[in-house]
Amino acid sequence: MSGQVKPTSLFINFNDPIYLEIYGFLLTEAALLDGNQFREWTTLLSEELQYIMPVRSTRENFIKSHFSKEMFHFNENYKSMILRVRRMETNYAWAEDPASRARRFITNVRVSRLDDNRFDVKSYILMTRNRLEAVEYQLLSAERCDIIEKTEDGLKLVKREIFADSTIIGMKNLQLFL
Amino acid sequence: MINKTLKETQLSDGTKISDLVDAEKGIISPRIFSDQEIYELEQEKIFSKVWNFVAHETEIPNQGDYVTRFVANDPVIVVREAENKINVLLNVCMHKGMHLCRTDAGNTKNFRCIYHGWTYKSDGTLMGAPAAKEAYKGAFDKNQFKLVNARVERYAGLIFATFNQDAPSLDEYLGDMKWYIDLYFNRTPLGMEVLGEPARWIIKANWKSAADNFASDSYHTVMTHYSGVELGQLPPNPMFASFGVQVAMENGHGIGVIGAPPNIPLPEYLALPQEIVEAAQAKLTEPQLEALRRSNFVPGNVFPNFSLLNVMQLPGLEENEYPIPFMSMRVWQPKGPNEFELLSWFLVEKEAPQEFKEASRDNYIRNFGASGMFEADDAEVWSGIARVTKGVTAKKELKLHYIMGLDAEHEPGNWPGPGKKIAQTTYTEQNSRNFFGYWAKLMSEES
Repeated sequence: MSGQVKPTSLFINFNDPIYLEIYGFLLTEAALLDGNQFREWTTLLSEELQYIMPVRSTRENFIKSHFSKEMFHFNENYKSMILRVRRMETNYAWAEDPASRARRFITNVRVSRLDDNRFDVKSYILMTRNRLEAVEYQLLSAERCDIIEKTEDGLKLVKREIFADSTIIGMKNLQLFL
Repeated sequence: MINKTLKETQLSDGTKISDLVDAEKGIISPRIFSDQEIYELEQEKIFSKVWNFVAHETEIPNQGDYVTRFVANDPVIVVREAENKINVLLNVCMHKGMHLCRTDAGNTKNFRCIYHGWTYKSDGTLMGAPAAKEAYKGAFDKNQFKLVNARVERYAGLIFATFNQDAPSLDEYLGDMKWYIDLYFNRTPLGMEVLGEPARWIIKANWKSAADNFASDSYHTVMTHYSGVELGQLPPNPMFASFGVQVAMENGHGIGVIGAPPNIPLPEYLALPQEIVEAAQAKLTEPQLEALRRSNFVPGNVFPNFSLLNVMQLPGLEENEYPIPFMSMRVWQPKGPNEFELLSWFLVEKEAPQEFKEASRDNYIRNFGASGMFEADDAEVWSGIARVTKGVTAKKELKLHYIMGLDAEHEPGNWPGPGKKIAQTTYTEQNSRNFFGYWAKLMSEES
């Protein structure tokens, strides 16, 4: 289950340059997504990408598997993310045309080193979403567990698992990326 | 609020249901999509009267497995008491009305209320209460406090429930729809299984917009889902979703079976893997096999709010790819006149190779489900209807037109399946008229 912190995990210090570089990467990513710059966003994705958001359900506390191992809101690879981005680039993606005004607030970033080039990165996301004439904002909060790789071409997202806090998604679609 | 002295149901302003729906002519007032009073009446006169789909048997395979769901607007526990015994219990403690089981799913021997500890067996029988003898001084007859049990009947792995003791059997209620349920939910010897949990999300729209869409609306495909044409997932011919049959059945059920356009070969049998087709050949009747052979895109609705979608689709990921079929079922659970919760399940044949199960599931997730590219555009339409049909003029003056196919001949042709009305095209609103006709009939009846 997500959110479980191993007492032995050694996080990279918050003032370490690599921590700041990774934090900056997450903020750049959020800015591109908030600006609906999907094609630019895909340049931050590794071609090995795994992008997963499991379905969550409420269970008794003694059961640890709140997240489905078989059903997902997203279960994507690089090619399927490109397909989703291509859809947003058509003039017929009605669900996001007119587009939402979404803002992704990224906090609680923790980084630990997996090997020379790969980092385990955990963060919280709070996404606010407004659309059309709505006065109420839709919210989605989640923990993201990422693997980010340092390449010659800069940092790349290799894996993202999104663990939402709600069992019922409180919005009519997930035609945006977290 | 409701005037019960008159024969036909009247709303508080004197409007009758027959003023709002003329199903024969296909004329419908948008008020039925946006009115609080109509929403409340639907709970009483429709959802509390007919069979509600609650779960698939494979969601609760073992003794003690349970899921929590709804029958009308009442929360229920669907629990497997024994290998061949499934109970549906009102999820309310008989003592002071506490929410008995507060989780979505699990496995348990019994349900214990956290208020005073009243504990029930999986058939709803009260096993006991703490210090009952002392506290109640012998005046405690636990036999009086069995949880309210719904009637439960099953067909093809689907579990239905109702609290209406007068409802006809599920068999009678489903009628001709059983033939199609065999075809799309239970076509192989081992049957289908649900993978994982249902995805659940909220759409601010009326549940009937979704049910009508699945029962009857193939015509929207090329416009609403035009991004799929741009991505090469759908053909650009605006008639492509019309080549098939639409079948209206008794009790408001409806299905559309869309096949290949003339002279354009599409894979037969929904592009299912060969071993699944062979397994189906061992199970289905000849006419059912012929209907499955001609199936490429199949939406349908079991009245009132249980829909199915069995379609094949190009994944859109590679140059020369083959369509991958997937099967989803969903409940449009009303939460008010302008809101429903969508529960969407993915199903696959138990016999299918693991690789196919995963490929089929992933194609489903990309196109339907909360992040689905097709699903999102449908939800955009349904919520748009809800936004603009609340006004005084819309409710009083506007009439909507479900008239397509009114003049069409209804010859069954060579269609091998049963039905009340069979149209030789899926560009018709025959099933809408059938759906809203049965809706109006139930809504008009005095209880």
